[in-house]
Amino acid sequence: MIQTSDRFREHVARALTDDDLKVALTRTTGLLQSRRRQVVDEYAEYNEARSRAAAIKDHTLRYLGHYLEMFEANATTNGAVVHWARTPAEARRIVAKICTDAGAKTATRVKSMLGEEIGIAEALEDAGVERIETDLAEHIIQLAEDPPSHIVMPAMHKTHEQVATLFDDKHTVVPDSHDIPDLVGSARRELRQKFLNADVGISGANFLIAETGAIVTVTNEGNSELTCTPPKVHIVTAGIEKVIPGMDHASVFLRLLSRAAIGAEITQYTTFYNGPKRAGDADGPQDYHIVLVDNHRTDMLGSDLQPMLRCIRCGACMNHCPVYAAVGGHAYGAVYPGPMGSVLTPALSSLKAAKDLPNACTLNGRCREVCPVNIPLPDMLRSLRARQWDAKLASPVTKAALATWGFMARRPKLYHLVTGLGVHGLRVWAFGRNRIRRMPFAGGWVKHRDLPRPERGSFMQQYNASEHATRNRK
Amino acid sequence: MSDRESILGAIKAANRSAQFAVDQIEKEAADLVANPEEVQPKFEGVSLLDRFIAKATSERVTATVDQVVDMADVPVIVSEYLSQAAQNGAVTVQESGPLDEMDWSKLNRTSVLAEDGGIAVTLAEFGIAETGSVVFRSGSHGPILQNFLPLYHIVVLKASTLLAYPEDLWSHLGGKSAPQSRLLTIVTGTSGTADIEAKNVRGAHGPRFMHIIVVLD
Repeated sequence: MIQTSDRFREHVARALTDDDLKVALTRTTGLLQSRRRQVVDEYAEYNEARSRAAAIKDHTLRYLGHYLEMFEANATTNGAVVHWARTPAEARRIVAKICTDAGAKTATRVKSMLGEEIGIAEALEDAGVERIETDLAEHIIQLAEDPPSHIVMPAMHKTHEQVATLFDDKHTVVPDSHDIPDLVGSARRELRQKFLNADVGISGANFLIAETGAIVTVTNEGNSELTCTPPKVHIVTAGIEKVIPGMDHASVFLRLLSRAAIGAEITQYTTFYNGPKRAGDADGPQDYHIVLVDNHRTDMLGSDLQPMLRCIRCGACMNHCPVYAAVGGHAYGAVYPGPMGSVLTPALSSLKAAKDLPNACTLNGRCREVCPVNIPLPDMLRSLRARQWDAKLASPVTKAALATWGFMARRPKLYHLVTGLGVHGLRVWAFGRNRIRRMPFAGGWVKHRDLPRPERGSFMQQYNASEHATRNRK
Repeated sequence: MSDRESILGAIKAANRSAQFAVDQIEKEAADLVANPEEVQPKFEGVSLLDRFIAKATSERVTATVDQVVDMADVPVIVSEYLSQAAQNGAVTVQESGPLDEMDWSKLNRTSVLAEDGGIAVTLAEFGIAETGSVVFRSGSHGPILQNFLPLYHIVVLKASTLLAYPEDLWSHLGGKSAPQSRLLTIVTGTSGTADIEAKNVRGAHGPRFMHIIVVLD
């Protein structure tokens, strides 16, 4: 997809007036939050697992070269052809060449964000290969020609009514009804033959196991196994940060990933792929390729953004982000939306191309709280803001506002006078109601929500009054 | 310079301080997963079988479970299950291993599984009590797709192959240097999706129904 993060404000303005989007986000985020809460509460060992997971990732990143070479050696022994790509362009070239060499006409694909990141769709188009998305959400957005809006549920922005209209229009046989189970059934019917007839199957990897050379996929639909078994070629594309030492380490992550992502103790299908079809196997691909992709990950290594390389792409941070819940994933204009995307997008492109993203955050800290590998997302967003300031990327309004605030903060008496007057002014402006709906010169603040009427007096006025009262009582 | 050299070179430059002997890295890695019980959900006082059944039949996993004492009774249980589900279509039974030799004469057995809507009976190699999961591996004993293509998936599981946790499974695979099957899958219930409005729906691409017959061997 073409990154449009530089038009964040424009996207937000559009998102806030999109009623369907509001419905879609309201129907999903609350459900995802309560499901996660429940399984995390039931898992008494959660905190220990979470700190172990972070420590395992830190350990692997410290010896990343060692583990990647170990993975490469073991995967090669298993019969894989391992490729390395420094850039998305190189990864696309490798994938296109494998498809061309195999004489492929069609390719089924299991959703992988790395695939989106490197532009798999473009690679297949270049190779003249028809791309068949098999994850239900990816199937929906392929038909709608939309980019993904969430890393676990890429079609989160669509209501079921919108999906029904889309399937009525595009499916060979229309859905039996517009109920969600029939929409799922319609996609099953539409994709079945394509699964079985594809020339190439393309997957990502949730984990790369160094000590065995296995790649792991985690899905609910079972589309990974149906994508990676019938075709004669299986291609895996994975970021280099996906490597972990061994199978016991994988267990720690598997317990956390599905709990954080979908609020389940385990996903329906956890599958380890070890290579091509073995002699005597009843089914499986003849050829098996793994493409290891860098794309700026080595730039993050050793920098203050290194903790971001722990990310296991569960999506919990966006499910719990008030900004994401208000504007949806498309507003971010990048492959990775939400809090993790606001850190990752500047790192994968440039701070300038994504300058509004680190500011699209209230620093409420929920993203860090729910992160299964304890990534300090708010701290990183703050450090990106500081970098922006240093690079002189802050907007003139921000600069002027900070200068005014700085001027006042150095003059406490003036500061208290102005804030006290401000509070009083807002109370008057509320005209006795509890909500403020209109605001001269600051209409943006109340355009999509009301401002509550402030308490009587600023914090300092109230504090001083209570101190005074306490002293009088003594 | 190849992309491989360039990536490994960039990693080396970024991880300058990390110059350690391989045995030290291995020790650190082992320490990080020492005492696995500290991260394993406890189910003390509950047998492996009871835990397995409770999880497999839970609302999130949605399998159904039957228990038989004798392996030879499996075909009868399969017939009963299918007649209760009002299914009289052809049934594909895994062709090698113990299932093949049983008396399936009451059922319409076929060696070719329907592309969709079919019924398959396969033998799981292991069960995992923690999550109510069953484990399959690819190989010459039958197409692995028999576990993913049918609408009705009937799984035969010997109680003696029940393991408590996935960590116990890894040690049954012969250790890290043993050759592994192409594919190993841990299946927990039926194929599902929450991709439309986060509503859980079953039978996405794989089985909509999973019936597990536990043989108390």
